[in-house]
Parts: sequence; C-alpha cells; structure tokens
Amino acid sequence: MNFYERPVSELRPGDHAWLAYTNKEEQATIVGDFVYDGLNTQEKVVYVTDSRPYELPGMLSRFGIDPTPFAEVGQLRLITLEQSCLTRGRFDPDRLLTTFDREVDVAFDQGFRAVRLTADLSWALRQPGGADLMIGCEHRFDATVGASTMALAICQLDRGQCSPEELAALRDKHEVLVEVNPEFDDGVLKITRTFRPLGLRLEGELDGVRHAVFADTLTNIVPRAQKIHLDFKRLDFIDLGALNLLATWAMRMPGGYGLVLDNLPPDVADVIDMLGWHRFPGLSRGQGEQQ
Amino acid sequence: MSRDEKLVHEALLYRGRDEFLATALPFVRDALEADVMMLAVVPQPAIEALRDSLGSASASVGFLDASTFYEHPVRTIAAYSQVVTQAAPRRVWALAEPPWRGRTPAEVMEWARYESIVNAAFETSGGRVICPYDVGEVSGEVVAEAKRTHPRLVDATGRWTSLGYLPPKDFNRECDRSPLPPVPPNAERLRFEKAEDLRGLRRFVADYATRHRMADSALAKLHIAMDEVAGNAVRHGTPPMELRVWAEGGRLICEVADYGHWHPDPLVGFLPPEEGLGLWGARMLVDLVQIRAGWSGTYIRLHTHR
Repeated sequence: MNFYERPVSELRPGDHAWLAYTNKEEQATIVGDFVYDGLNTQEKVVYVTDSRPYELPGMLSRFGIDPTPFAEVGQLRLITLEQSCLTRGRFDPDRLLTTFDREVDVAFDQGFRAVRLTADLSWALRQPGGADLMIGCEHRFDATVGASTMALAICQLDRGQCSPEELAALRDKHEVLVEVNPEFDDGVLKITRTFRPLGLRLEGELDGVRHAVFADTLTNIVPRAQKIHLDFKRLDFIDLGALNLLATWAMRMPGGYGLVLDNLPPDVADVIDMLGWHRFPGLSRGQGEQQ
Repeated sequence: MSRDEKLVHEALLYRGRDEFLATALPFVRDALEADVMMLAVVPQPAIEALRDSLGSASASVGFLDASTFYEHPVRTIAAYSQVVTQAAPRRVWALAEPPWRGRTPAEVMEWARYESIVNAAFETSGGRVICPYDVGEVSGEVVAEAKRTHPRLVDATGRWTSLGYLPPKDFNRECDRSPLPPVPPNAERLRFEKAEDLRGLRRFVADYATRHRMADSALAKLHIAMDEVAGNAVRHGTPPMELRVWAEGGRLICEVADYGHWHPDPLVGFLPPEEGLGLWGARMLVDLVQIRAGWSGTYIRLHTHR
C-alpha cells in the first residue's frame, strides 16, 4: 500500500493513521495533540486504555491539564482493555472492532461532528499469534474507518516491542503515517522534530529571515548532550549565515556530541566541501544522498 | 618553534631549466635540512627536473601539479592556509609557480592580486616561498606585477630587495581603482530593500539562470553568494538597492548595487576568516567577486561560469 506522512493536526475523518513511536516523548507529542485537539474542537475522543484521564500521554506534560472533566461529561471516553478487546485475557480483534463501531454510532447519536479513536496495542503483539491477529484486525478496521465520514483513528505501537518484519507488515495496513506537528512552518521553511534519529527535519529555504526561529527551535527543542541529526533531504536552500549558525551551535555542544547532517543534497555537500569541513568542527556527514 | 617569524616571499626570475634549478635546488635542500614541510607546486616538467636532481631526497618533498592546483585564487589561499595550519608546529616552505600563459588580462590581475595577498595571509607563518617566473615565457606585464607583489627578487646574478614592491593593501586598492565595464543595456534588474526580498532575488536569478542554461551546481553556489552579498546590502547599504543580472560569454554576472558609502578594507573577503563566513564565503563559491565602492555607491559583481 502507498502511504504518506501527515502531521497529527492534519488528520481528517476517514484517516486510519499509524504511529510506531520511538519513545514516550514522541507518543506524548503526537497522541497528546490528537486528544487535545479533539477535546478543544468539540469532537469526541475514544481511547482504549487502562489509564486514568490525567495519565493519558501528553496531557500533563504538554498541556498541563487533567482532562477528567471531559471524561465526566462524556466527550472523552476511556474504555478499559477488559471492556473493549479482551476475551478470557486474550486479545480479541472482533470485540475491539465491535467496540469501535458501537462508539462511533454513540458519538453520532450524541451529535458530535467527529470521533477520534485511538489505542496502544503493543501488548497484544506479544501474545501468542498476536501479530497475525492484529494484522487481520487492522485490515478490517481500515475498511471501517476509511468509509467513515466522522471517524479518524491512530493505531499506536511501541517500536521497541516489535520486530522489523512485524513493523513492515503492520505499516502496510495503513495509508497514513502520523507524525508530529511542525515546530515552525511559514510556507517557506518547515521545521519538524524527528525522534528516530533524534533531531530536526528541515524543508524549504533556510535564509536570513529565518535564522532566529531556527536558532530558537534548536535551543528549545533539542537537548545539547546528545548527537543531533538534521535531515536536509527536502532543504532547497541554506545560506552562509545558517551554516555558520550550525557550526557555532555545534561548537557549544559538550565534547563528543555534534550535529549530523543527514540526506545532504549534493549541492550543499559541495558547498561545505568547498568551504572546508574543518571550518565546521561540530558538523559531520550523516547517511543518505550527497555524492 | 616560533610561529610569528616573518614570511620570506621571493620571485625567482629565471630563463631555462638550469637557472630554475640553480635557485630551486639549494632552496629545497635547505628545507629538507631544516626539517620544514617542503611543497613544490610547479608545472609537471619542473616536478620531473626536481625529482631527477634530488634523487631519493625527493620523497620528502610534496609535489603538486600547478596546472590543476592554481584554479581559483581565493580557494588557493584557503588551501595553503590549511596546509600551514595542519603542518604546525612545522613551518612550510614552498616553490610556487602558478600558470600565467593563457590567462586573460582580468585573470592575470586576479592572480597578481593573489601573489600580493600571500604576503598578508602568511605574514607571520615563518614560511618561505619562492615563486618562479619563467621570463622567457610570461609577458613583461606579468614580470612587472611580480616585482610589485614580491618584497624580494632572485635571479641568476643574486638576490635583492624589490624597489617596486607594494604592501598588499596598497596593491589591492590599486587593482580596485580601475572602473568595471558598464552594465549592459540588456541586463535584467530587480529592486529590493529588505531581508524578506532576498527570496524573490533568488527566484529572479534562478529564472534567469535557467533561461541561460546554467548548471544547477553552479546556480546553487551563485545563489548562496548572491544571497550573502545582497543580505549585506540590506543590513549595511543605503536604498535603493538593485540586483542586475546578465550573461557575458560563458559567464553569468550578478551585480548588487546600493547607494551606501562604504570604505572596505582592500583585502576584504580574501583571507579565510577566524570565524563566520561572510564575503570570504561568497568569494570561495563563485569564480570572481569584484568590489567597487565610492561616492556613487557600492557595486559588487559576482561572476560564475554557466
């Protein structure tokens, strides 16, 4: 199946999106926005989880809110695993699909214009035959959500819990890969956090007008005491000031760390070669593209 | 070892192989004895002559073919700077003979400028450089410039101080005194005044370059250099600012003009900066940057091969 990446805020009814998160922070960033946006725009949010409202990913850490009042008035519905998808302690896909179907109908009757469904089923993968059950479930769920004019869903999975083969097979059941909202996007430059590897993806043109916002994003988002990757694949232009900014920033990182430039377009690689990599001691070539 | 010893920069005016070797060989042998890094960046026949004469000692000399090394004056300064930095604490001595034949008058001027800037770039490096000039081959004008860009001269008869020598800033100021050819009437022009306009300038240049079949890799470098120069005009210049673009022979030329009254250092952007990139970066990325600053405004021209 062809799939495409879409920021969480751009998900629309009919989207059956996939999130294979790398760590809790990525999960909190994406799922947190998904839940928060739904609550904020009068949409219903249905979350299959044993957690309590304030434990939902990102609620406290990103927004500093306890969504319990939304649960009390029925806009946020948390359904335990026991109530939604377990039969005698085993993952039961039929039951999960029935649960989601019912919840979409209820939301419709309640007058919500959309319903957001999500579940983290990483645990089910580790049950005997879990991967096959889940792949079958995703297939049928895709048909259900894809045909819906009011349901949108994120299937969450902890990347660390599954094998590369399972990941590939499950990804194939989704048309949309959900990702974080960009940190910045003015139509010329887009800056998006990446979690695997840790860093930022730059798209468009990074020129003098955008130095300040780029420096702020680096400072606010990216920890210094790590190796940070910058994905240049879709970067069409970078000026000398921005290259210098990168070098200055990298020099302030603790010893042994630095900025890794991934998918360096041949033109940019050529420019840095010409100016001399020794002038950019904290920068290194990463994987992909270049010559 | 002291790093602030003064550079010794001599022009060797020779006729024929024997006169070349009569000065070059003792120089190389002294270098090997002094255990400095010895580079010979000379034409291939001279490399072979040196190798033959030095025998096994030639293994300690770094030979580079001048015909491929001296392609771009500012990049050459940068390359030598890196050699000096990497060799430290050893000092670097060099036999350096850029090719002069086949250069246009404008190129001869830029390479003469290069010879002059060597005095500033490596002033305290403790290095020694002999630049051989084959007086039977190069024009009288090239020899005349050599006497103005080298503090000392050598020939078969001995060594002496060059009376015509000009310090690098004076030499470069003089190079920049000659007016540039006028902007042709078919040049395309675009006014700009603020940083937000630079994106439009890049589109404008890309459009022109595409119509004139410029290679993408050359355009990418021109974009960065033009953006840097136009950005400087926005930050420091006086409106109205204008970009002019035209094609001339195999080259595309961009001129950034403003009404500012700038008094640049004559060496601005020629020496690798300690930090930042600025005009040096622009000079590295295109074939030639010309600066003219006076009462009528500031004009910076970028030349790039298509």
